[in-house]
Amino acid sequence: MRVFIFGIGGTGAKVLRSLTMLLASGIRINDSSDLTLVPIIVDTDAHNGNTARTRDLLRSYYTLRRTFVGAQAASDAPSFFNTQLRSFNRLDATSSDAADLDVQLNFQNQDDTFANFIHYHGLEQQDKDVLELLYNDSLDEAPELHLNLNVGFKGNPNIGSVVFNDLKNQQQFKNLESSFTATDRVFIISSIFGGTGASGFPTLVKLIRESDNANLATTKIGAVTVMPYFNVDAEETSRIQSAIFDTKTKSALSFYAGDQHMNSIQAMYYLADKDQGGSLRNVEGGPDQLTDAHLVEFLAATAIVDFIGKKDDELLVPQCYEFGAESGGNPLTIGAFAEHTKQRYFRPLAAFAYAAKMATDLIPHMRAEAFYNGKELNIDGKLGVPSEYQKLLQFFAEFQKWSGTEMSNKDNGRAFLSFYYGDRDHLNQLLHGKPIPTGFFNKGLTQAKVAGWLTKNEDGLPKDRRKTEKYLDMLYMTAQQCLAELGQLP
Amino acid sequence: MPHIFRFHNGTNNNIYDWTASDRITPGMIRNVLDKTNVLSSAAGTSIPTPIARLFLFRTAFEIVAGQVREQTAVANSIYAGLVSETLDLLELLYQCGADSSRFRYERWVFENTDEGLRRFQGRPGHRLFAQGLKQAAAQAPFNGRIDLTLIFFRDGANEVLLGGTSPFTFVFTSPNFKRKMKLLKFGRVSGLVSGDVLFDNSYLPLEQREDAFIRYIEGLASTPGISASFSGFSEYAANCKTRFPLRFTAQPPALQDIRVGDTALQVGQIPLRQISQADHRQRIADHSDFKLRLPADTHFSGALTPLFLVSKMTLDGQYTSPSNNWQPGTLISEAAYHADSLAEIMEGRDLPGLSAVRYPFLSAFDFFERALVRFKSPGYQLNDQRFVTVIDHQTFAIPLKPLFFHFFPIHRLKEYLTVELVEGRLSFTLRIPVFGPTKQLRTVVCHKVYSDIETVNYSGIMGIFPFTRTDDASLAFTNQYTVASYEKTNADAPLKSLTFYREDGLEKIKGIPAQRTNDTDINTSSTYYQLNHAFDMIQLTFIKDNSSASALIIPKFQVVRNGDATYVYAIDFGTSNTHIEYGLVSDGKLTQSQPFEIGEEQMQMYLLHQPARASRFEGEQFLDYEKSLGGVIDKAWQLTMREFLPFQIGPYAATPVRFPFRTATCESTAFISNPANDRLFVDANIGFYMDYDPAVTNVRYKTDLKWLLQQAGNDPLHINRVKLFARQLLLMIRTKALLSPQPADLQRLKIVLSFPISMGETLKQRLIGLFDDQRKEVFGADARPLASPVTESIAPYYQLKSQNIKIQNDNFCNIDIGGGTTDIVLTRTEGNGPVNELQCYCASFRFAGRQLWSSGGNEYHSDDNGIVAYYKKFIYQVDPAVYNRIRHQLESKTVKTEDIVGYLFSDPKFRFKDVFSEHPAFRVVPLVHYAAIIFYISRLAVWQGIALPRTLSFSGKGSEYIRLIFPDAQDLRGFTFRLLSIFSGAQPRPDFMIENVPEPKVITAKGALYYAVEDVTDAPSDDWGSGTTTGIVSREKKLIKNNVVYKGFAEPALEEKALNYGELSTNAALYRSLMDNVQHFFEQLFGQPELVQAINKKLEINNFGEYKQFFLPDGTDIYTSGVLRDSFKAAVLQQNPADQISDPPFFFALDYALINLSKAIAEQATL
Repeated sequence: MRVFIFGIGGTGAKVLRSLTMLLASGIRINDSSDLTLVPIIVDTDAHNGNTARTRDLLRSYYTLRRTFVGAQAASDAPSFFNTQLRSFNRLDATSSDAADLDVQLNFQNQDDTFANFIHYHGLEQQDKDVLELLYNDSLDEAPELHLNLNVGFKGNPNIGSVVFNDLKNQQQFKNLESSFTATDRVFIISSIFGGTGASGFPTLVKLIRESDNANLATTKIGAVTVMPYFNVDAEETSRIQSAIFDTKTKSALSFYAGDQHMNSIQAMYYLADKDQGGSLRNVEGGPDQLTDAHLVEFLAATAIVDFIGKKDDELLVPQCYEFGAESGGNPLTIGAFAEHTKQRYFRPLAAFAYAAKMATDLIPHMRAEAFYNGKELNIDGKLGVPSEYQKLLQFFAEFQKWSGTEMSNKDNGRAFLSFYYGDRDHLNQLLHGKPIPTGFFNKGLTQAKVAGWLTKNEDGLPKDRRKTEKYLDMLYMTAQQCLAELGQLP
Repeated sequence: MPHIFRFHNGTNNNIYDWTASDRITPGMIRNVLDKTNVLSSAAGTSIPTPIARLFLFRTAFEIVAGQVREQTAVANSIYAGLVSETLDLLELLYQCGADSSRFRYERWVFENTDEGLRRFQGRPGHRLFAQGLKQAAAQAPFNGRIDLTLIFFRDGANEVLLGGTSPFTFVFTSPNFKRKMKLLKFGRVSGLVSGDVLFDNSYLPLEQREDAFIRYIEGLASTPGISASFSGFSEYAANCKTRFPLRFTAQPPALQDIRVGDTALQVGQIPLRQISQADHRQRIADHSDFKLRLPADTHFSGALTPLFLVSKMTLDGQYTSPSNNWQPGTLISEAAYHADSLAEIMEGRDLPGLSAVRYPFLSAFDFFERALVRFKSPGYQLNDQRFVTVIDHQTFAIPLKPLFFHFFPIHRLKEYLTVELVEGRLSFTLRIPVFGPTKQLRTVVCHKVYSDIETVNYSGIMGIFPFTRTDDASLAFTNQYTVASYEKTNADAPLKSLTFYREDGLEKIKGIPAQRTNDTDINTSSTYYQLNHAFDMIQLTFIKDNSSASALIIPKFQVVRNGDATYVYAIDFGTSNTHIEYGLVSDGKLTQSQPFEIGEEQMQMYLLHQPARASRFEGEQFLDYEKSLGGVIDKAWQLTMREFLPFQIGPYAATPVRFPFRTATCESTAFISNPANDRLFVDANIGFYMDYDPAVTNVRYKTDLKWLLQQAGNDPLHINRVKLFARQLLLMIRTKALLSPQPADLQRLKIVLSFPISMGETLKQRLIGLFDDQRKEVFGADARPLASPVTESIAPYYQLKSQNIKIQNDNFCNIDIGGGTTDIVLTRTEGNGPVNELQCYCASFRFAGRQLWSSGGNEYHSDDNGIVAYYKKFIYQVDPAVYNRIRHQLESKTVKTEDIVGYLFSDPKFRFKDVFSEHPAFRVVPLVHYAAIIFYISRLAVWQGIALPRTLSFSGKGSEYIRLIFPDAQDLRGFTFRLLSIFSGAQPRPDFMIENVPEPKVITAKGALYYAVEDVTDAPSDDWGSGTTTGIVSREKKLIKNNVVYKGFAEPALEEKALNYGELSTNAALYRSLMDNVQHFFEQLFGQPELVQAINKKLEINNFGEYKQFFLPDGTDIYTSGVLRDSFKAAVLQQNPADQISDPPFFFALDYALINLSKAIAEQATL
């Protein structure tokens, strides 16, 4: 089963980042053992910081899975990085899997204005008049007609809806179209209040539904449309004004309600977190647009999991979905979520958090342990694969930052407190809201205790396995033990 | 209670983790509050379609409709803004969508067909755009076809794309129009309710809009069969009605189509319309509190009463509707309206503070002129007796536009306009009453103070003739005017034009201007406007700083009507002088005869200025029209006198002019250049000022009018002269007759002319014809023709008879000496004729003033006249000041010598008569002249067998010289008695008497009056024919004239022959007989020692007898040489040889002889 996941625009990229973290945590998305996800980032802003970060993360995932899991590992295996990713450019099963994952559709570098893009000056006057009627044609005040597309659509789906039509003409899209099979699915991530996602989403749906490939035209589509969930600093000259997010959302929702293609989406996930305080730095696009992860993006990623997890017969009739937690609150903690949510999403994440903490903070201090030495894992020797080992540690660090720092940023509006990585010699406080009880006789998840588990687990693994795989399995198994020690999630 | 991560207000609240829920519909998001109310126009882009804006507006209506229903509407939300902006555009279309000066429409259609897409195939970008459109067109309600009408809005020359039509909300706006309107400096666009500015950030929901518009929208939203796509719009309107039912009760408006080419502007088969102009205006008329309250006698008769509005007016009240009150800060730009005519105003003006709401209104600037016109000259004030003023001593013209008087009659001016002096400046205040349903009657007060730069100094003056006005239809033709304008040519702000208006302030009366003079030496020009219809106002327009500035002068004409009094006017159109006598006829009798005068009370012409009351040394009070003009325009008085007409005529101090006056025209320099120059005052006028005019250069006076047509009967120039002379005289007579305390019946007014016997019939008829033509024009074709002319010489008979009826029973003789002819009449009482007839013999000869006062053959060479030549030396010596004063006249080579003499006689200060006391020998000249006439009369009487006259009288200006030589009446009688006796050889009656006529010139005219009146008496239905009498009951005797030509032959037998002038040159016997008779005359005159002695004594002449030598020198053959022979020959040559002799050739020998005598005397005279 292949699922093509289009992450459109900045929000699409950020949701893909969260999805990557979920995948890394070893979440079991469905019962299929051959689940392959094909992440596709769609953004005209090729240099967008968020997009680049996600692209790099996906590539790391791809590399790490190949090094530490094994490319042919089943997607339902109990392992971190268990789900297989493929590049949309190499969908043919026979193609080499050696290259870097290619996730970015070549729909970018539109270094021109919208007016030039549509050859405005060659239009008849009456058509020009109509464009003036429909588009803001100022040069310096929220431009639309003269907006430079190299920074995306900047909240102008009416531009994107024209530009995105060009997607159909891209060879990559044509390849994708031609290779689409009846069992494949599509998931589309977009925000509704921005520009790129809001315009790319319905246009992409239209292109899919109007595809000449019946498999694609009739495929099951899941989509999450992310509605306002953060604010940006109000800057008078910026083309991004969060004050208008709600207004734009309302307009777009009204439009969606009347659009036949949009109404054909089998699983439509609505998500929003409005009316929260705080605001993020206002960056219109480009490399500087690198914003902290947000709980909502993570929740959006869970929508993908939810969609993929649905059986075909659950998707016969178009259905909309909403997400609820047990309670609100700000900051929000894992404890606020429903039990199913905790078990399905947070439990793997917690395991990965333990692993990350162990790998980055504890293990480097366990030089005395057996698994550490050169004969075993040769940690000092970076498992013999210094580059990949370093990449893994970076991934763990990235995860810690994503979960421990970024999502807890109060500027996000709603801060999400999940994991705490501050303690050096134990893991007792790692989950917010659920410290591991300690007493005179039980010191909890101390470094020594963890070292013992690591050693034991490593020792129990088949000797012929690659050090890299043994290393990750060791972490996975120990993390599960930590979870067991933790007991129920808060 | 779960926390659901949602945007909208969903109804499914049992959601944990990802749970199936409801699809979001517009209804679920209605109550989501927008966080901003700005950027409304830019907000339409959040929908992924090129036509996102249309959807945005639809959404707005859907959301706001729900909010209205649930009473959760947020007044300043962005959706409220979008709804408001839509309604703004609909409201603007409703106001004036059909106004092509405001709107332009362009239809745009996108067809989702191959044909439709073809035009986008040229470029890849075009195709992508078309793809976007195609996607949109595929959706409902477009059904493959997007059909929009682009709405362009104009302000003057600028245009912006305001919006377009929409199948969701009827219209929507462009995201760019506000920016572009600002860039292009569009004016504020106002809505229909008080102070509402369309397209601003102050949103107005439907229920707060104007009543009728609400009903229009309601109708639009509930159009039967309306497409479901309009559901949001319709629901909004319906919900508003449910919530605010009282706002939906007004009478629905009458509507009119908005045309787009051949079709109506429509959206989805539903027409967008505008309120009909008529309906809209009527609603304003019904509701406004600012309608002009006009007086009952207003000239205005429009169906709609205009509003009166003043910029920033602080009055409150309903402006155009109950929901639209006047906003006190509203500016009214004069520049936007100031040139509007009434028609334009009534067609509707864009009401201030509103947009494209057209209704007639007026403002202060429609009434006040932009500049104040002040009389520059010190002492120059408006004559408040004859011109409308608003304050005493008014030194300015009324700074109102004529339009004011269309609404408020002239006679009410002071009810509305007041003036006061505030801090040294004139402050004008207009109080304009307005009324309306809620505020009733109020007054709008407008002040106007003109700064220095808004002030024009008028350095000129105007005059109007005649200053009369009649409403009598039968006299309508008298409402014809000449308006004189005298202007300083070096004025700062020159007068550009005069415009004449009727009292309604609208109708213009054509006044054709013509400049007559432009005297550079006095920087004064004169222009005359001729008008053929009555007018009530004169608008003076000046050029001030390259733009025009105007003001009004409103004459208070003397109202005249056709009366029932019968007047007779007699015109003695003399060679040198003209006189008019007139009299009232009562019961068939002339009650009084008096010379034509114009007194202070019946002035015919007025200039603008107020005359000063002055007094002369005798204490006589008079109005001084000269000094009161002030120094700046002092020359205007002189121009008036010279080119126009005297202020007064008669024994008044105001002007020196009195009748009789010099028969002359004053002509413009252009007059002789074109025969078409026959416009009175423009080209020529009566030269009343001739004898007083200090200027001789560039001023052309023409005399000898009476005989001009004899030499060149068809010369149009001469005809024009006589014509204009006659016209002005008749105009003055008409005006005087109408202004008389007992106004004349113009139909019965009688005019009689007198002519000398010697005048040929052709010339006489020509003159009569010219006068009568003018009579028709001046008095109307229905008026009486001229009375049959009376012979000048018999006219005095009637005058004398009126004083002494007995003279009709005695032989009577009158000698009428004019400038060119002497006429005599000699009655005959012998024989048996009808009892009321008196036979008379009339003779006329051209031996008159000219033979004394001219300079002979060289008529402009005054030194050829000895008396004049002597006078020059005399006056130079005794009174150089006088000499210098009149030097120009004396030295003139363009003024005839006899005219110079006339001038010298006109003013005693010139001391011309002193010549005769200083050097009495000059008395010989007139003495011989007089004696020759007596000789002729004596011989005529003998020839005809008539008794010598018992009564002798003199008439004619020329006869005044007789008093010069015989100041004592007894001396004159004695001398005349002696001459009659000597020349006739018979003895006159012992009771022979000479009538004492103080003004001999006047007697002819007076006599003519009586003559004419008798005609009336004798024949009431007379057509002024021959004057023959039938059925007489009067005892008075009428003269029956026998014209005789006593030629003056020594042999009476020759008198019986019909001769022509040529025979006098060819027939020596005839010549000799004439010369013999002349010789007889001189021998008898000088041959009586007693007479010579008496003359020497009485006339202080050393030796009268020696002058015989001058005429009959010893040893000279008078037939072949000498002054008499020369004179005779020259005179004969002037006659047409073929003409029958009508002018007695007896006088030919004396034609130049007396002039030569004067010269001889002068040469011997010493000073």
